[in-house]
Amino acid sequence: MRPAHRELEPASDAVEVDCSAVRIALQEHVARARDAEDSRAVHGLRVACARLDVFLRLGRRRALRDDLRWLRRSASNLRDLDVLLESSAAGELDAQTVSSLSTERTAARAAFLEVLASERCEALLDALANVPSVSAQRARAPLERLAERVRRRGEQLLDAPAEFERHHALRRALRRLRYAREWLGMDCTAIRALQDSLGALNDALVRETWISRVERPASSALASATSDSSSLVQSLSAGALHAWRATRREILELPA
Amino acid sequence: MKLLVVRHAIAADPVEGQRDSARPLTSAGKRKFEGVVRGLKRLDVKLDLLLHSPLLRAVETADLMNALVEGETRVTSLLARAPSKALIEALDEPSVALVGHEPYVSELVAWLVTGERQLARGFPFKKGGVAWLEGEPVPGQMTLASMLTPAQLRAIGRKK
Repeated sequence: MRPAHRELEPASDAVEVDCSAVRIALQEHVARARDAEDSRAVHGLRVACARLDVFLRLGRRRALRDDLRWLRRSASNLRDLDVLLESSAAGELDAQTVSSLSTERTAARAAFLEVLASERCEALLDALANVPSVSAQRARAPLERLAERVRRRGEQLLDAPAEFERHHALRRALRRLRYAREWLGMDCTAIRALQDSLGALNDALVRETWISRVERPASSALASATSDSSSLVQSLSAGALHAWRATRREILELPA
Repeated sequence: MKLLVVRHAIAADPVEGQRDSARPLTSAGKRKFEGVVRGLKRLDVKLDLLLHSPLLRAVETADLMNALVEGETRVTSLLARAPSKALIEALDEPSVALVGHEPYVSELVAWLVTGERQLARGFPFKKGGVAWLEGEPVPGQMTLASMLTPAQLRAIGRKK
């Protein structure tokens, strides 16, 4: 769920941003993910954690951010495997690989359920219920820092475009900047487009990682899938780099 | 291990309709506790783990202690109730601070130092006060190195 935008002008220092809608969404995602197999709830939980992390950054708060990161990361493996298993076309992966991935998913779900049932998760939800609103004035300096981080990560990517870790770092910095701007009711069209490019690359890399991790016999179908995946990664990497060059001025609101 | 037990800083009085858990620190409470943190910093306190209760006044106190944290900050409801074995088991780093509430912080210190929780009255905390314990985190086996008031820590922080 995206934060509800206020009617006031986003740039006005008088704007007070409240996190309760996203907090309640997080509570609902936790309940749904705990009670049933619901990959959307798992995804929603991760997004809500990331949005709330940025909200705390805008309020210059440090406490609870480690807890949000812990909760978000606890869902990472489950989310990766859900995406991989749901997005693989019929016959794309051999039966043994699918079976191994499904076993990994079962373990990931069990670990995730332990986290959801933990005292720390309950305490986090309780604590978030008390977090005060943030004024746009207070959020201004953290917002500038998040934009500056995007600029630095973008420069680092251009310095070494073959290093996927730099794509990943830019993707994370962009996500935080987007969420910060959304909290403040600002336009994020350009960021979203670039996120799509970097997200597609990340999905392909995650897919490669998981497929290489699971045990499997040699398979011509798998070898072909792996080869296709590597080509796809190269293509998506080039596309993301191009997208960053094309949109960075707009995203960072620099003069043309 | 080194264990700092901290009572939250000065919080606002409750207003009508407000949950007790949502009471924030006052401006003066924040300012005074910033002085406490400066004192702790001068004493070279570095934390591997900071545990705090989910109540807003403890969350905001933990926020102010961020400059001392080199490891993780973690919220736990174990600090919003009487001290338990589960809380002691969570003390799994060499240097840990806990931010909680009365009477529980006094009970915890009494328990760890004497083995008897009912001696809590012998270990009173002012808001923003700090007890510094050392040794194994086992009831009756920790040493109380010092019990510092906020004023003492602010004075330490002011000296150059």
